[in-house]
Amino acid sequence: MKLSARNQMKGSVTEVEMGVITAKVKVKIDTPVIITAVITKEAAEDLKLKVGDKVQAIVKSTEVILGK
Amino acid sequence: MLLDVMPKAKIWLEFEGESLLGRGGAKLLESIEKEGSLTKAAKNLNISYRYAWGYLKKIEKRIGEPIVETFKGGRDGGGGMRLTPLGKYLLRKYKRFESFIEHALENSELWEACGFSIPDKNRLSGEIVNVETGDSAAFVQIELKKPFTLTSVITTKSVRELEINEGSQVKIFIKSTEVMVDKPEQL
Repeated sequence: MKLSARNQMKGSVTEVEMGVITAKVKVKIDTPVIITAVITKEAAEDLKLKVGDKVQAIVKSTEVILGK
Repeated sequence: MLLDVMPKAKIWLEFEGESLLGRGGAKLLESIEKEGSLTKAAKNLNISYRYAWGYLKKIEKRIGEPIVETFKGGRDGGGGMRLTPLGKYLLRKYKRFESFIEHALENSELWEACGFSIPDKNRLSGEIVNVETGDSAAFVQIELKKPFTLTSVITTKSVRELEINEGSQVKIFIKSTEVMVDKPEQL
């Protein structure tokens, strides 16, 4: 089964913090990757995004799915 | 590099310009309300009866009204202590403010609006290698050259079911629509 998620990468777990309902898992990714973001046209224009720009990709930790 | 620190705050109630009730005092009032006894409350909080009593009397002296009252009978028949309506009011006020501040501290949008970023989000630095713009959306590809760490918050159940431990090799999946882009001001 293939998944539609454009961002798929392999890593190794460095830390697991267990809570009652949720847990925090830290994963280290060693290889260079290309992250894909789909944002609104307005946002791209507001930030004047172009090739070569130094930017930050931001992801909420609750939106990072793990597979094993 | 972001240091994994969390902002915290202490609050206290002030009366006529001076501190009246802090966290310790609120805990004492709460315990008195719950236990119906100063002896039990002081024991629970690991403070001496004498200190607790002195603390309460100091507050009462400043506001000129009792915040606690003793009564005969009680649960074991030995008498007890309870909060007066004013004592209850003070405790409620403290708890409401504490909850308000905690809520504000956890509000990551509020922090970002003030120019801070708190580490409940992953911020990965890289360079744009591709931008394609459509009618309403834009497709942006960012190259991350250096090794990085991602934090994932998942259910504890999943951690157990997948047997995720330190050293586990895992795969990460993130939808492109859940990746935000920020371009910090070039200094």
